[in-house]
Amino acid sequence: MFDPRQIKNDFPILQRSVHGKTLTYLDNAATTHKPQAVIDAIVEYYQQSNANVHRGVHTLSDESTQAFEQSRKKIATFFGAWPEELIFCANSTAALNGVAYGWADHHLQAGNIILTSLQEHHSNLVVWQEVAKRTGASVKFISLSDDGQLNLQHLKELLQQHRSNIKLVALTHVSNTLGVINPVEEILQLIKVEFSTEEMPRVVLDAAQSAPRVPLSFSKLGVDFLAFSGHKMLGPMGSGGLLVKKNLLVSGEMQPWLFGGGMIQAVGAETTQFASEITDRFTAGTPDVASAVGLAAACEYLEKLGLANVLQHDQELVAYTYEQLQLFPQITVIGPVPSQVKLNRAGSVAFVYEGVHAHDLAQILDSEGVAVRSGHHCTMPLHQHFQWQATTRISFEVYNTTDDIDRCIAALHKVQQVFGK
Amino acid sequence: MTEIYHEDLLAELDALHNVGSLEEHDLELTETNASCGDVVTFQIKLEEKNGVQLIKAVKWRGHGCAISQVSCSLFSERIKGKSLEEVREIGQAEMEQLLGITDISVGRIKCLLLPVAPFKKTETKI
Repeated sequence: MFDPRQIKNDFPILQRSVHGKTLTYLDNAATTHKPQAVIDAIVEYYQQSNANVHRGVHTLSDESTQAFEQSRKKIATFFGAWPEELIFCANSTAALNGVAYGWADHHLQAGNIILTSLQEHHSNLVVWQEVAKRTGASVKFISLSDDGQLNLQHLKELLQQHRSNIKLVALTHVSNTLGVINPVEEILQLIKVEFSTEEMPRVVLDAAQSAPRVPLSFSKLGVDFLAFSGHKMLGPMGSGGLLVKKNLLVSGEMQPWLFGGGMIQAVGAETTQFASEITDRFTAGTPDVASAVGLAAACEYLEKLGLANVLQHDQELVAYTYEQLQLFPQITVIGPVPSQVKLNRAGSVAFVYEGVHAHDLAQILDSEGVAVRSGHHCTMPLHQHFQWQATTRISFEVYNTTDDIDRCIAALHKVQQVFGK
Repeated sequence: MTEIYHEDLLAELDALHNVGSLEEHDLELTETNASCGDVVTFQIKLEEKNGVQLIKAVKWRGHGCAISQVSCSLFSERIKGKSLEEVREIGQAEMEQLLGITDISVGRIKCLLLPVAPFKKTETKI
């Protein structure tokens, strides 16, 4: 097991102070900081190998191409996927839009149903509302329990009731607001029971919050699409990807959605033949090689720590934070109670503070050097459903310690002092 | 930074002015802050004086953080007796002065200006 206090030394930004106080960064579900290894990898790429990839014959172009392809391999391996299954995207939002434009627009029609839930980040909801507008399909929601977990009985009923019309199931792996871990395997099993192989709806998993902390194997998991953001897993902003099952790429069921240079085999004045190499077909335009290199370095960093250790550390912080917040009678933690026997929540703990708005609370925490997120966390429908005006979220990374949580708790006492509530 | 939550501001928060709705109104203006979900609705009753339409009565209701609530409260007091044109002139500096805040962070400017925003959108010069 690693020592998070040592890990802090790998992250230069954590050495700075805020308002004269030690920076206590607990806004990792929004974005994580980058270790020196990631920063160095990006700097080294620009200092040594920068050139446009592919088709160049000079040394730098060769090196750049190699760096890009090696990064692809490293990142795909991290996710238990084949390198050609990885389509580089700027973030999860871009990846989910890729599923919409590259798959849904080609296969959905009026009467079809996209199943999702109110747990979803806007990135995995608005995109389906738009697909529905374009194709005539509709979006239906799996209901939630009082503590925000997916109601699997309702999912079962929906699958039975709308059997032939359900074409896509779009769910998050870990909710960015509730911290809930959805039981993906169980959900896939429920789907498999209801559908024959030919009729099986496609499943897209938003892994933005799970990728940094839950060991994932794309090949074993069995979902068709998996979206992730590099910047939420110690990688650079603007990096991320969409994993697509190889058979969907090979068969042409998944189509490119960005067109232009790099993704072609032959171009005529009237028509174009797309590249036969899958990776080329889905890489239109000059890729962000430096970000890919940085993300590969982030994957390497996490692998060295061991994802099982990362998850264990995360679980300790979830349990500790949950426990500490219970000591405030004016605080209601949202999402399920952390389970001792089942992995049911990860990454963050969010709450409502009776009588003090989340923004005011976060402002006072900031004055103590503690960075948390306040607001609706891009889950407005979820907030409306539970009638939360706004919530405050504490979220974790490998560099966080229980001391960080203690500093946050001390800052919450200051909130009490200022507002007298 | 916590200086923004000074005594006067917290006192105002406990006794907000002009909250509610008017029996009759000439204008109803709503503004939402998309980044946090704060929302405010102003109701305005106008009265003509020397050929100019002035704000005779104002009520507002909404929910949000301490900054936006106090901002709406003090703003509602400030705009009484002014023309809409004069209200549209109110900017960040005046609101900071009104709330007694000197160093508002970028992220909170929208909270401060929540009541100002819908009036800026009123095009009609009465």
